[in-house]
Amino acid sequence: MGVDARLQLERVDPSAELAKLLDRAAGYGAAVTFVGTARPRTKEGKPVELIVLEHHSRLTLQSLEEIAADGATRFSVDHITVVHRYGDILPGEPIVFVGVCSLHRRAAFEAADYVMDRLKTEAVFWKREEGPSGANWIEPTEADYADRDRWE
Amino acid sequence: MKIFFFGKLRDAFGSELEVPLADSLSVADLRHRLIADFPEGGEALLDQRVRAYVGASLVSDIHKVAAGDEVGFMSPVSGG
Repeated sequence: MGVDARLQLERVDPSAELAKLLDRAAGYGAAVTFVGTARPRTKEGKPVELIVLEHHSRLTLQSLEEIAADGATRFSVDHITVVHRYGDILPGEPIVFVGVCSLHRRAAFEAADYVMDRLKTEAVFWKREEGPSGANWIEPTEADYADRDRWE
Repeated sequence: MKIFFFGKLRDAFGSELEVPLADSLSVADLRHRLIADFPEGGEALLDQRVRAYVGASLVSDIHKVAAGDEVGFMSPVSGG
């Protein structure tokens, strides 16, 4: 029980992560998961061949741990898993898995929502879409910041 | 002092720079010194969403950096 935050180069396996979460959730009433996947197109509709997620050797994992721990504390949930990839990611591949177990569903839904809003704006990654038309850095949108600010 | 750049900032500054430093100076002063040295694109450092860190901690613009510190400037971060 507790916080399980991981940063990995290899593919995220959502089924395996869900199975681990459900083992941990035995005795609890709710497990909520979210999987974020790499989009095949840019916001403008152009094809994306690769998403590159750059990270920092120390600060990235530290940010994942802090966000997951804050989610566990704020919603008094018993377990939060955050698994985040870095490196080269193909369209359709999972980028992030978030799983939460708690006694009741509301806290689990809210904690997952909160963790994702903070990951989108505070997890230490730099994201680049690469495609036939070149490379483009992706930064959080105003909507992403507004989503995060809902929790303040 | 070694300064690292992350995300879009790398396009203007490269990945890292060695900057000679006689006295300690604030992060804000360091931003302006770098902008003066890199007129092409250096103004990206003025974006308030560009955060600085020293060692393993995020720091504010009034934080003083000294020779020997590892300093980094990070373009707006985004996971998920």
